[in-house]
Amino acid sequence: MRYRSVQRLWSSIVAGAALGGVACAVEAAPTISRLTPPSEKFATGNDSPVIARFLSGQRFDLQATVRPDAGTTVSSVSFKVDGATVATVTTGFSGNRSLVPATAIIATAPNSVAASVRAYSNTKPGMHTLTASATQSDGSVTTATGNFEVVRIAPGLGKVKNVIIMLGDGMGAAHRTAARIMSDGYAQGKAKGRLAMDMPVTGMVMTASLNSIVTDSAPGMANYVNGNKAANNQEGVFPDDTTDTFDNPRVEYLSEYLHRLKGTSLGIVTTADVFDATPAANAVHTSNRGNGTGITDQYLDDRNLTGLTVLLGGGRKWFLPNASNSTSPQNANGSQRRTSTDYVLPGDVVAGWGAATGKLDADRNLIGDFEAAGFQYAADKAALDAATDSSPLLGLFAFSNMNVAKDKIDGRRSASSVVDDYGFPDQPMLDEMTGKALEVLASTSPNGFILMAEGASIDKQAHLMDSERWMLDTIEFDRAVGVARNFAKTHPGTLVIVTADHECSGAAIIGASTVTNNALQSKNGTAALQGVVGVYDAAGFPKYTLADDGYPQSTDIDNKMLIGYGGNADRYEDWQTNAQPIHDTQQPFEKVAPLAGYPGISTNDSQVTGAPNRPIRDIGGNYFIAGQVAGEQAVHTASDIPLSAYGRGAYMFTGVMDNTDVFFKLGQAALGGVLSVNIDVMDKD
Amino acid sequence: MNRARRSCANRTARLSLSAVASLLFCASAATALGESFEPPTPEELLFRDFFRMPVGSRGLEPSSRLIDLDEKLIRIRGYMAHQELPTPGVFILSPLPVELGDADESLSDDLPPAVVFVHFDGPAHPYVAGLLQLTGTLHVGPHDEADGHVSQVRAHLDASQLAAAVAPLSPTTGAPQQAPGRSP
Repeated sequence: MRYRSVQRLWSSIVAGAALGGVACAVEAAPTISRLTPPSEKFATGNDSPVIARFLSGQRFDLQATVRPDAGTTVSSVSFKVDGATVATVTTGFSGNRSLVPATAIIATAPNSVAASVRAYSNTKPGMHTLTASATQSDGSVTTATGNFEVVRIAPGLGKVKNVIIMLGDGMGAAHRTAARIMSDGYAQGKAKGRLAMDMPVTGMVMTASLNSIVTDSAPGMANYVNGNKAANNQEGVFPDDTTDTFDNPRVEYLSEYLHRLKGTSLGIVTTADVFDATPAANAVHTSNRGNGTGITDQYLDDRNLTGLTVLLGGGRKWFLPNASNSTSPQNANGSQRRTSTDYVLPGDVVAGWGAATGKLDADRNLIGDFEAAGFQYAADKAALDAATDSSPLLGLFAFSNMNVAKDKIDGRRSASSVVDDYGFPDQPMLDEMTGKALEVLASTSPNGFILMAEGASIDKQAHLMDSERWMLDTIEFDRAVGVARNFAKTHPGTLVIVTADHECSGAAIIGASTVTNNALQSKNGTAALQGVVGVYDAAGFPKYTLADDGYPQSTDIDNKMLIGYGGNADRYEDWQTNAQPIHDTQQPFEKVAPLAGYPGISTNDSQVTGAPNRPIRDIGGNYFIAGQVAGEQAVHTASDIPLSAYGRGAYMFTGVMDNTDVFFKLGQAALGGVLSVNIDVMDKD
Repeated sequence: MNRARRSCANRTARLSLSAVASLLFCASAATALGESFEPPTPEELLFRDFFRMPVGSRGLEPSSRLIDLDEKLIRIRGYMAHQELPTPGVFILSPLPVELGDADESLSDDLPPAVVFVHFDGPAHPYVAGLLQLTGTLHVGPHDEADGHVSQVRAHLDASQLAAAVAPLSPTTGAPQQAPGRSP
């Protein structure tokens, strides 16, 4: 054969092979774009790190999102674990299985579906392979593989009967240290006292969420109590591809798991609105932490799953009936219930989990329904104090968040009218709420309980960079920790852990004022206000005096502690305590002689003279600090946070751990017994 | 009706129409001459008069004053709530200066129960610090707002009312002044 013929022949052969190869690459097959529970094996092919872990028998949902080829549909999805078929799912609902449109992506991926098997569980310890096989209408099949781990519960020593999780929202090391300096003081380098949270055992916790190094409070709480990472804004679920925010794949909470296995009760105590992420992420499953109506409904409707017995905090607005958009004035009761945040669960979730179906009922009288279910209802501290120990308890002490510690204490001292202006003059402190919760739980829970008590406004005030308010909220939180600690001393088998969902604001104790409080008030401008920051040895030891109520007599002392913020937004700073929660001190509730011609404007505010007036917090000091983030508020940070432990099993909580590890330690301690020689870590006395 | 009575009724109707026409003519003439009708006087309303205080265990109870002022022109002073994510056409007037961390808090907020959702035509209004005084038409009753809240009390402002409202008051004179804004 001549050379050119060979070339043409060889080119033909190569072209034919290439064409053949291209033809093979376009063979039709659906795509599995998501496999739940999530795994690195599915995402990248790597076996580690292991993303999804479960305690033996802990329930969770299996799910796959399948995108079929154009012009085809998905006819079935089969799930296998370790090669054995768990379930095959076809279109529609059947018991605990479903195959439904993937409504979140269907516009760009027509005929995509989400296939689910609800409330699966596995009791065999070790790694497991999860396989999903999707068949589309032309017969093509595709398979995806992931993995998950089942963690063994080992035989241990004494079991933990009661778990108390004290959660300081946003509370990092600096927040704790500042609270100690303020409440105990230092002398020649030694702390003169310790916080209640300064416990014998300490660990460090990594707080990342499923989708970021910087979490928010939803996964920040959920990760601790179900052992799995969640995406920001989501609680007790994995992400999915449907628009329904209540149908996401669930992970069983510690409260549900122990209630099912041991009959434990659940208590939730918070100074925030009770629908907020931290309280909700102990009991409610949703991909939208803002679903207030559905979240509060499910507290009651699924109490048979969680064992909910105590619910205390703010958020009364979700529990009042919202009749309609009527303009009748009689309906203006403050309700925030609305259909768009309410829940109705799909049939497979109801069948698989035994959850209540739910109903779109903005006009529901949820307080009335709690009472009908046997709950006592307390609307203020007086009612809380009068409540008996022998019945479940609902307490709603504010319309949304409760007022912060400083404003509650100033109200009790008659030094401020903020709580009166809000209309809630008799709000309990967190330690009072925690004490009552423990009394009720101890009386009503022969099989033990889980209590989560949250100091919520450490975080909220740190966002606002209001140093004194988050310090006092940390002290309030520590007083509640003291109540928990005392309970553990007198109730054997109780474990107390003190932790945080994340750090907030990058708070740092940068030093102390080098001048008196009087002198500080006259300082003006950047140079002067920077100049008073005593650093290194110039900081000395700020000395605060506590009143009989346990809080500082004043936060504006000579040589006061000064705080800087690493995660700050733009702000003005004058180093002085803000008289009101935020901004200036004028009030339209006139307290003094009104300005002529304008009744209702208070002029009794010596800080509001001069130009410009003080409409923006601390602007009068003319000390502007540029923020490192856009917007108006400081942000969460990715810093590890300290965890303290006390009581039975405390020594299990040492070392550097992931927040999901805490769940497995708690489960081990409660079901298998503690893994430590010193099973009870208590005070020496 | 007999012819005489019909004639009388018709004459009365014509006289009534004439009277109305005369009044309208006088009004137009007066306006043309530079005289104007007195606009309605707004009623002063304080936040503390909205609801029974302290707040009841079962929710807010509107006062008779609030109910009486429904659909009426009112004047009220308060602070614009500082929102991270302001809503077009709405801002919140509060008796106390408050800051809402919408992104992190959503509806778990520090708003007092007695607030006014102020509605106007236009995009989201930039934050204005300081004590404000606004005049507008009051509406009382639950209403689903675009930001997720259910408002209980609203004030509707036209363009001129909005312009007047967002000029904060001087604490020393009580007169509206330009908002200082926020700047380094």
